[in-house]
Amino acid sequence: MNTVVELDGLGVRLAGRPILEDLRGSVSGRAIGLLGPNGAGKTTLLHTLLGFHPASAGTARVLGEDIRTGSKAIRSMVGYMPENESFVPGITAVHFVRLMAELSGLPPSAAMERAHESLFYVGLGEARYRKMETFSLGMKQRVKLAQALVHAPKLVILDEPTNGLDPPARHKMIRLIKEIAESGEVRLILSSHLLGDVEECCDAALVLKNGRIAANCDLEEERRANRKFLEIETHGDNGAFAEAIGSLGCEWAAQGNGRLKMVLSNGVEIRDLYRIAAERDVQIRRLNYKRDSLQDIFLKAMEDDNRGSL
Amino acid sequence: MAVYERAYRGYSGNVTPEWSRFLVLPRYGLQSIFASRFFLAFFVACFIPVLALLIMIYVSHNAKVLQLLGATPADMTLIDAPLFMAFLAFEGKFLGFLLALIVGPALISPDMLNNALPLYLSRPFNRTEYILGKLSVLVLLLSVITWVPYLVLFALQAYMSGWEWTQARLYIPVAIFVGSWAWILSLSLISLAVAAVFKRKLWARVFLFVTLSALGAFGAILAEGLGLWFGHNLNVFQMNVVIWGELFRAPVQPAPPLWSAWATLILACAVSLWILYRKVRAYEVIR
Repeated sequence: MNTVVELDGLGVRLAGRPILEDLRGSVSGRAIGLLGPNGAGKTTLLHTLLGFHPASAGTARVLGEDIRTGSKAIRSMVGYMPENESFVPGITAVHFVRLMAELSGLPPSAAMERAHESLFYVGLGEARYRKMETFSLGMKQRVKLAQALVHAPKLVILDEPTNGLDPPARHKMIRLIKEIAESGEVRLILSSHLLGDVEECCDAALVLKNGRIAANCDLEEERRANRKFLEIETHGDNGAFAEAIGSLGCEWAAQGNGRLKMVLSNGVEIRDLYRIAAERDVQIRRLNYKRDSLQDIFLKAMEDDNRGSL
Repeated sequence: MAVYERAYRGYSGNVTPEWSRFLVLPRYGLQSIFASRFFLAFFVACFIPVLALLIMIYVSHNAKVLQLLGATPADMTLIDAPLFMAFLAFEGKFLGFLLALIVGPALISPDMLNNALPLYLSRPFNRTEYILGKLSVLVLLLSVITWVPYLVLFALQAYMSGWEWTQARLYIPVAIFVGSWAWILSLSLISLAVAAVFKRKLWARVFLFVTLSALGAFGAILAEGLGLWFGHNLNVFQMNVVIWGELFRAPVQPAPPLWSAWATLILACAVSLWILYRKVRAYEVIR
């Protein structure tokens, strides 16, 4: 998969204070989650990629364009949904989205057509002739998403898109983001401090801590690996059971009290475990896929000071 | 993407040239300004002096009308440089200033108040284009009430008065054009800069009005009371009149040196541009 963002020793100082330091690595995927506690530098990184803040050291490339030399080219490929409430007052939603499309280079007629379509897409078709001052927070968030999509960017950057939304509005927003990611026509960077949002939508995650990369992981890969990682609670002679499992090529570890952790080898299915247990008169009382959740990854990254890997 | 499908779709059509994108802002800006009936009425009223001068030019060249009015050509005010300057000064200093007071803050303050700048500047659209786009709204409106109609009136007067009159007064169209542009640029930039500092339109208007008036009054005290000639330089209105006076060959008194008048306007423009570039940012870094 093509690299979306490459970080090459990127450093950013604002008001003389280092905010990002020596960021290195590359991120690819259809939807990339940008995680980190408040003040980790998520928004500063996004702003630097968009050219709002100059890099004080190193550089970065977005879809192959260097932020130092190709800022305008980057912005023509990117749609940005800012974190804060942002809109142009005094005009209707459709005119606002059309204005943004025209500023991105769409001719007026195409801009108008796509403004209508984008607003329908985000579920605001019926409200498109209302002025934005009259919108609720959830509606304003969706208009911001519409303006980020209207010019058909290659990459959409969403900064805390579910901020301040009630559960139904959050659910709608997440569904939209997943749809966009699954369309395959556009890449996403989703910055959030809500792990659930990132876990639901993203297939890669970059975790920042104190302006440095604390983790850079492929969530798809993690999910695939977790699919074969089991936790079993047994009753009976689990030593013989474990040895039999081991003879099938599975790795295992006893945890006491009849509990076993194991990684199934290729070709071994769950029903094989039940068969072997039955043959040895062992009861399987509990069986879980042990998932190394994003929360685990995040917490490990927050504890671990080693940068760049988990 | 067709509306009924409601699915995400890319765009592969034409795009507009990059240089022309700043023109999107005046189109939307003018549309929103003229949506106000109050502004429309005011803008129409700005043409009353133009209409008055047009009537004066017509009457002064129409013997029948003069006869009807019981007047002779000698009774009519001489249509010449001082008259053009007087009308243009009223148009620019009074109506033009009111127009800038109404329009300038309405162009930038709402964007600043509602955090719209990240939306503009996250597109292939930079700060210079944003400022140029907003500036062009004021430049266009002020041009339509100043140099454009007055050049037309000069052409009419020249047509009616003949080549000899025109040849001797070719400096008038130059004065109308250059004088108007000097005033339009300085006034527009000052009002946009004030609008960028104050996020509320009302405060921006009050500050603009009070500051320019107060500076003028303070300058007059310095100049008249303390005899400091540069006191007048604090009054941008007066500086513009000095420039117009020289351009129309009708110098005004008391007048500081012409170079200082130009320097004042250039300095005002430079400071305004500096403020605009400081304030028009996607995000302000708080120190």
